[in-house]
Amino acid sequence: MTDPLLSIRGLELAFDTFDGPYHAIGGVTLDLRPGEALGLVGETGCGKSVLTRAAFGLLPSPPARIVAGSVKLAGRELVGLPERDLRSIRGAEVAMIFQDPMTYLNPVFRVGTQLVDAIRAQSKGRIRKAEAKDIALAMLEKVHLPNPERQFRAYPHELSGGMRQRVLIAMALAAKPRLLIADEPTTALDVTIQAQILRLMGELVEDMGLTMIMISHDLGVVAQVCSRVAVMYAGQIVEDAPVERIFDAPSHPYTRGLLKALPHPFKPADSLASIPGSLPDLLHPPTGCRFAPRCPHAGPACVSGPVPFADLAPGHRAACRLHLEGGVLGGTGALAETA
Amino acid sequence: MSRLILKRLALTALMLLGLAVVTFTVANIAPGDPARLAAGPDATQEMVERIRVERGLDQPLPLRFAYYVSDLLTGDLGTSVYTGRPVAEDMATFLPATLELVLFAITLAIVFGIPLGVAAAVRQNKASDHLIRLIAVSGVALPMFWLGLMLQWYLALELDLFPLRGRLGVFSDVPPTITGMYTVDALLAGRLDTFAEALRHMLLPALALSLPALAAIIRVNRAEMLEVLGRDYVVNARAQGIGPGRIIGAYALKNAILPTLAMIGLRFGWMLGGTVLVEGVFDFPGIGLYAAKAAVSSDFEPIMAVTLALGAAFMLTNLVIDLLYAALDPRVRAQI
Repeated sequence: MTDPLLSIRGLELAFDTFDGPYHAIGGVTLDLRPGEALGLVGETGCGKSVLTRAAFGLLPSPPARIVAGSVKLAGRELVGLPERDLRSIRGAEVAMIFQDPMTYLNPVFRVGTQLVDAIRAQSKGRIRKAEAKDIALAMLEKVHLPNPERQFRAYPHELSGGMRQRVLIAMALAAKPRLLIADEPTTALDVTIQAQILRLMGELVEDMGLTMIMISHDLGVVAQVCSRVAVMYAGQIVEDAPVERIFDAPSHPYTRGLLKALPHPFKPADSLASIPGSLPDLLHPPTGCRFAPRCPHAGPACVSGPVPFADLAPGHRAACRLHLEGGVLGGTGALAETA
Repeated sequence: MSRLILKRLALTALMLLGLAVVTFTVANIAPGDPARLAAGPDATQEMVERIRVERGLDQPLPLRFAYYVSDLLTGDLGTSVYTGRPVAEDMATFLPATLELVLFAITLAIVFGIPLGVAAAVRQNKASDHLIRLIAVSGVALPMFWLGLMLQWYLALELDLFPLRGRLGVFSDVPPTITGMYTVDALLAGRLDTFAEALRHMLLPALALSLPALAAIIRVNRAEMLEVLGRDYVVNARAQGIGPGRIIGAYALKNAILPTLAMIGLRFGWMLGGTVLVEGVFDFPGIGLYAAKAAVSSDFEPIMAVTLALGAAFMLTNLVIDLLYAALDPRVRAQI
């Protein structure tokens, strides 16, 4: 097996607040091999964006603080790296595309200026302005933006949402990065544009041989683009599997709940299931499984301590006692005796 | 763009007419008989009546307003009882002095205010941020005339670093009048020593005038920078690997400067009004002092002229600010 391009080990991140540390990420371990397209799914606020931003030093610190763990990009440790070095990695090796194309372009600078700035920064100043402009125009062409010369001179407010997202994709991919992090790139767009952008991204990922993490709360989008899915809940990964296994054999109760909450084209809308309860308070995270308070199967073992991953199939793991020896009741140990 | 300028200039003319109505009305319903004032304390009733007819003061108010406006348009601002000279001549002497002082003061406030605001935002909650905010708070809290007195007492009297009063030393030659601003005229005449002297005379009153504006600019610019630095486009710029210098100095500042500009325009107007206090403290012969002396002697025509001039300056400033807004923000241009 090839060495992972991105390797996250036991990453813990907290935001310091007046009420104490808010444990936004609670021990995430994740490997990404070159060429993989991983979908990172979970409900709003589960830490998907925070995880990827924290890994590359994009969160303001304070209040964000990496408590433990390691993030390695092609073998190079990123945790503890000074901002200067992180900056040379961002853009050049790791590119990001964000959710709302309306707000991620600077309103008072021309599209071309921003593209040229980004391209020159990605090249660490080695590329001259004129050359950067040529690259920018070529990239605008590559993302199928009509009339690149005109869009280059335009201001962001003169472009539609779909066009702006194409500009941001062109900006992110200009330096031919190794890893692309797409943070809900289609959420803010309407459905037809969404399909166009997804097709474009699929095309570019294949074309450029990119490794990608696609963050989404939309399992449909992930199924379309990704080969593997990691499900996050309350700052932890609960299940990680090839995309078809997630749909065919979801193993964590939270994943099953998520899938039940998907609308079905042939069933009436009122049959949509929801997961009762709400997210745990991450100022005081539960010691055991973070999903246990909402889980229909939860037993005493679930709340007694951290839940390790159970390997269910090649490339399929789930952090759930249901699949571990002893089950939710805690097996033959002390708990069974006291019960 | 030129359409906007024309539109705004026409609007400015209308606003000036409105201001003329207000100043004229206030001056004419204020207690005191202008004819008797002009005639002097020993004049007989006959002489007072003759002056009343001569000056058209017996005519109905709307007609007198029409005369007043037509005089204004020909550049006749009336005569000052106090100086005995035409108000237009007085204004030509005193207005450049005040403009020079106020422009210098606002320049100081901008040149120090914007970098300090940016620095405070970038170093939020660190010692330097607290220090800068202390300056900002004291600038808002200290009254201008008191600050002027303290500067005068300490820096001019105690330490003898700066002259106490006036625009130039008693024995210095006034540079040949071109703009009426001593620093500019001295430079044009190539007299560097006179330039330095005029600048030294202006520094303390300008400091007193500029501190409140400096404080306001720091506060607004700091708040705006903090807001803008948290925006999505800054996150994207950082994700592209763009360096902090470019992000703070261009990407964030160009967005944060817009509300700061509005504050600068507002403060410039306040500063014009503040000259009445500060010029009094430093005996600086500008229109603030001129207006104050005229007010004490119920000399209405200079007061009306000064009010109009300050109003016009304020409106012109706002026009310039609006144009700068359009120049900096393409979304504003798109709405024109």
